[in-house]
Amino acid sequence: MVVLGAALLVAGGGVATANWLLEGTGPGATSGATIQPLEVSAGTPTTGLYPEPTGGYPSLSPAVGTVVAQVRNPNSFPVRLTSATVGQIDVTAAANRTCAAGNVVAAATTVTMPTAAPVVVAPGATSVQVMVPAAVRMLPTAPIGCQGVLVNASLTFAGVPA
Amino acid sequence: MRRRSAAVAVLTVVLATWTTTAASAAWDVRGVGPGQAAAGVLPASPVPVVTEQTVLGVRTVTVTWPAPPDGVPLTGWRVVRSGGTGLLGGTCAGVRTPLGVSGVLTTVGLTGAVSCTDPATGSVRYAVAPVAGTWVGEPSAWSLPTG
Repeated sequence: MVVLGAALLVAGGGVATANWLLEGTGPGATSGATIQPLEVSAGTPTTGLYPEPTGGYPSLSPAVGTVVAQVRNPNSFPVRLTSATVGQIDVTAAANRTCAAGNVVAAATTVTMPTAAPVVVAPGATSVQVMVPAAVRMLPTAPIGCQGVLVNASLTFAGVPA
Repeated sequence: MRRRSAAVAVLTVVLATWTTTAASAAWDVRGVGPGQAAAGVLPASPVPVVTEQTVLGVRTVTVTWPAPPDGVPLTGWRVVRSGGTGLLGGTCAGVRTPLGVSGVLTTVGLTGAVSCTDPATGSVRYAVAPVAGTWVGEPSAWSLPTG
């Protein structure tokens, strides 16, 4: 019974703590502990995307299909990014070239961020470049007009306090 | 007594799991915005180097070129021969082997290849172009001709 009582106590305390952190109604809200969403903007791509070979992209360095974003963390605590979900994808072809948007698709709906080298955005960091590896791929049938195309992908990052 | 202890243990695990899940969901931090990627451009075609070897009266020309830069997933190379007379066989002709006059020897599928062989007579020279899916790069300058 002692164990049960302790469990209930911990459960109650945990939920209450989570609620005030999320909604900002608890005593800690005025001290800046309310969770603010990360602010995401486009980064500068450093790798190239090519038509996908039969059997998928080989293991290359740097990874093909990496999407780059700049992340700002307005919170007072570090955030470790755990996943990125790829949404709408648009393409902008180079001058005098034609490339339909459907030639570039999400490689996976949700990309799990690497755990071996965790991506942690420091508190107050204003511009951290985040690479989402293997996020998009180009169809094998993509025309040569897709060379040099700029790919804009909507990203939804999820993270936890580090 | 033993049954009660077991029930308490199970309840404790359930509560602990529920608590962890609820707290974890509330602690999630999210952010939405644009990210960018860029399609690559096929690398410049390297000028191939040509060597020849004759064994038992049959001459084989070996065409060699540098590997592409790291991070470029090519699906093959297009090898073009000018002059001479092509014969059947050789690894340059992955898809089709043109006989007689100058022709295109496509090595699609030989993704890791940086050389191929072509049994051809006469004075021949070669150019290569990288291939990625439906993309074919501009051909290189011609190699020096064989003797």
